[in-house]
Amino acid sequence: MEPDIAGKPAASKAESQLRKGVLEYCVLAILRDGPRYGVELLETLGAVNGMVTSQGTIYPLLSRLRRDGLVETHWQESPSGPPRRYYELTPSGHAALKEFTAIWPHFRDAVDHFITD
Amino acid sequence: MTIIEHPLVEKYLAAVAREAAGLSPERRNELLADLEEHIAVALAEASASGDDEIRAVLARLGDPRTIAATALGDEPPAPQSPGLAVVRAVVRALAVLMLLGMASLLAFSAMPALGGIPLVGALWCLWAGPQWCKRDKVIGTATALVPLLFVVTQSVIAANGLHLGLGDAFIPVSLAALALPTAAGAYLLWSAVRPLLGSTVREA
Repeated sequence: MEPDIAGKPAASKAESQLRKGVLEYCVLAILRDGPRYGVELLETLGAVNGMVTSQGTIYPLLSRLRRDGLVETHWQESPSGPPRRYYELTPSGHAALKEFTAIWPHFRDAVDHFITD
Repeated sequence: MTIIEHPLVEKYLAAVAREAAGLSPERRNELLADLEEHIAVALAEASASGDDEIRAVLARLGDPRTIAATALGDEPPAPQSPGLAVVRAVVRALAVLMLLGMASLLAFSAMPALGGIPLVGALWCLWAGPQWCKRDKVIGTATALVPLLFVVTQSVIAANGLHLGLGDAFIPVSLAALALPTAAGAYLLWSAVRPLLGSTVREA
């Protein structure tokens, strides 16, 4: 299946900036349920439209989360194909997600307050 | 031939490596390894190895330039603007210079103990300053203590009815002891500002 890149409207600036701000918390939220490997994580993110436009950009993000100590990784053999690098939340990752989860509703309400009539 | 050695994949990864040339080697290798694993896993899970399927996986990964730009955007931010850094370094160095000058003047005054106050201030500014290396800090500290030591030594000797044996050299030596911390302050100012000026000139 060849994705129709040319037919896809270019992501707007607003959308890409918003995504930049929240994507890492979406990743942390997905990892809350347990360790995932890259392709798996991207399938979950890709199930919601607009969250990832270029899959490869998730890897620099995961690398930063690892360097910031929010996730840790381990390799695991797989019955099919090469070993997978699994990403798992650390206690600081859980804390960062908890903080974001608390902030987000207020943030969303505040934005709604200004943009709705 | 593993799937990673497929010409399409090799070409794609080479493009990422080229676009990510600005990353540190460690970060670039990690990014390439992550993408390699992604490609191998995505194809294995789809039980696919045809050219079209490889192209589809690479297309979903996205433009190498976009991926590299994201990675480069995550590099630690460049140090604060040189202009601001210069101002901060100059202010701190001037503070050290002034306090050292005050400390040595007070050491020679009627109440040498008062010199301790600006001296402590100067040493605090000096050791808290990120712009100086350890060597500069040690030089600054050692010279800052000279006038105080000179005055104390002199008064101890005078109290014991001795003399330093400096004779005519007494006044020049006193002046030197007085001037030394100020000279050290000027040196510290120079050593704090010089590298910053260099970087501003290079960036301009």
